[in-house]
Amino acid sequence: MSLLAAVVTALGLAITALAALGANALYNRTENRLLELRVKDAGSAVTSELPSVQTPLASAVALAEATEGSVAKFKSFAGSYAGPSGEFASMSLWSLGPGSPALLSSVGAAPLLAGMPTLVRRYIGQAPQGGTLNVAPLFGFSTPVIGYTFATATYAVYAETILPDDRRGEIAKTSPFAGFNFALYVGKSESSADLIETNLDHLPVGGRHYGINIPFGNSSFALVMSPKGSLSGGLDEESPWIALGIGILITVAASLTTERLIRQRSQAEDLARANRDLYAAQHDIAVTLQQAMLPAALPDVPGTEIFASYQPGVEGIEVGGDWYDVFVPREGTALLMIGDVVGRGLRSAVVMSSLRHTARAYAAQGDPPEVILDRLSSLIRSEHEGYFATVLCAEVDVEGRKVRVASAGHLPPLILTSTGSRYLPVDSQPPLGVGVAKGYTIATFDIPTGATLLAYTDGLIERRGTSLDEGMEKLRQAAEGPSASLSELIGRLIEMLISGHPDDDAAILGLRWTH
Amino acid sequence: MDSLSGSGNGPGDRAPLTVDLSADGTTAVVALTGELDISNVSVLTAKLEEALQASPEVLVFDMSKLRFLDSSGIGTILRVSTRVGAVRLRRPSDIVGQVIRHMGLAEVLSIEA
Repeated sequence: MSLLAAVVTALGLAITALAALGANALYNRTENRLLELRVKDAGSAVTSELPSVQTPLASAVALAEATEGSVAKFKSFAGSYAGPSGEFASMSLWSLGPGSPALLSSVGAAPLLAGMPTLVRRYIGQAPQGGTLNVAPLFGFSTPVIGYTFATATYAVYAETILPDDRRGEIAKTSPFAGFNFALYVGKSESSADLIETNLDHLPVGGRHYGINIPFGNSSFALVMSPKGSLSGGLDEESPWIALGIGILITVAASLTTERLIRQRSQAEDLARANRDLYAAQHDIAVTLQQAMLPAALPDVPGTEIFASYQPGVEGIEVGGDWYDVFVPREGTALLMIGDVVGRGLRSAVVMSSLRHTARAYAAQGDPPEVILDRLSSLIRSEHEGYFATVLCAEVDVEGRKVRVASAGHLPPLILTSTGSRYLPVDSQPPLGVGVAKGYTIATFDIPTGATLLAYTDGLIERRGTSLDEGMEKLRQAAEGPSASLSELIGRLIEMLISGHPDDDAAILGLRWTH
Repeated sequence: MDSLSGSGNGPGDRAPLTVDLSADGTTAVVALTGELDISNVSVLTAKLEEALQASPEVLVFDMSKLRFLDSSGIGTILRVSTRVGAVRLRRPSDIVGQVIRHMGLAEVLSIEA
């Protein structure tokens, strides 16, 4: 080989090695960047859980203050949050005073704390009052739990969630975080004594990993995650080696230009794929968060069939603002609520969650729809300024066949009977957040036997080029005609009215008298 | 008159919207052309900040060329209404008028012909 050829070959090999290193460095940078983003997303998901833990407790305390510690009302409210199918294993009401906190009532399992005065004093008596959720890791028991307390000066509500003994938990295969190993700790450190849950056999988390601290109430969680595979797509993992292989080939052919072009295109393709994957993951997260904000199950109300469905909107990466809920304030009465927070994103979802849980508390107190709307409007104006929400609140008297409806900027409900379908003439007041001088009005309607009441959000009927009235007429006509069950009717409506990729999310909530 | 448009590209295409500002004494006129929804509401918000710098007493939204308006557009209009003396909606189309009526805002946002 001539001296020139030797120099070109040496140069070529050096450049190939650099290309391989460069591709590897780029791969690592991309992986680390994506990992950091994903872990922060997971952190947001955990943070967004705070309202769903704090608001039920805060609402239960407010209820206790308003009803002077009524045990019956507490049990009725807490029943949907605590127990075998609830989000907490137990929820208990305590009264606070000069001495030790006194247990007034408990729903679900008995609180682990109950027999231990020192712990009761520390985690209930000395919990911060009036605004912050107190997080109590109680890992020393045979059944480890996390305790949560929300307190005012007079009452405290304490709830417990049970941790698995072996602290093993799995991420659902359908979750956007399914491709990760994780460990969640209480507090700031990754000490095994503070471990809440993990899907790993060996800790601490090794390999490429990233950890964040997530403030939660008066405490925090430490979340560490590690990807199981490549985040930026399979090709990247091999690209350093591909560069090496190609490089040597090209060096032998002494064509440096070709090698550079191949490297650039492969990097550009990989980055584009990473962005698409990240986008898809963000959309999944939004849908997961939205589902987490909606009620897991609707109550059984004798004499009726109740069903609801939520359809997320276009491939957006932000959480929608639609919500619905059904609450049973007393036997024989069902309170249906449906609403739409204007705007999207995590903040709107937090407002939505706040409205939902607060409405339940006022409903538990026995407030009628127009008063509930009034209180929600005050809440949104004082705590979520700049946010607006439409809400429809309908109190159904099952045996009496009456519905009392109040609407804050929300579309009127549809009533289906054997003779046809029509909209209830409900006068809509302005949405929550817009000051209403005269308060919300209520309208009462008598309902015929076997009727169906349908409430919905505008995503179900609003379409480009057609007016709301036209959309409502389309819904009305689509709802007529027999259906074997309420769920079948609602499924049919969604199929007929929502096609392709709608921009806006849509929710539909129905109650059918079964006799 | 200057204008700002949002036009579509990328996932979640933006609907077409043009916002033109003009002034009539202490009244700022915001003319909307096209469709206003969640995908382009930020275009309007940016323009409104500009219009508010002149501290107008009255803000008029000329909606004669607006084909579509949903709750996110209404939200932006409601939010800005707290920062000026009065907000008026000029010649909203039937489609837009129905949104305002169904949201119970016919008396809150004054509509002028």
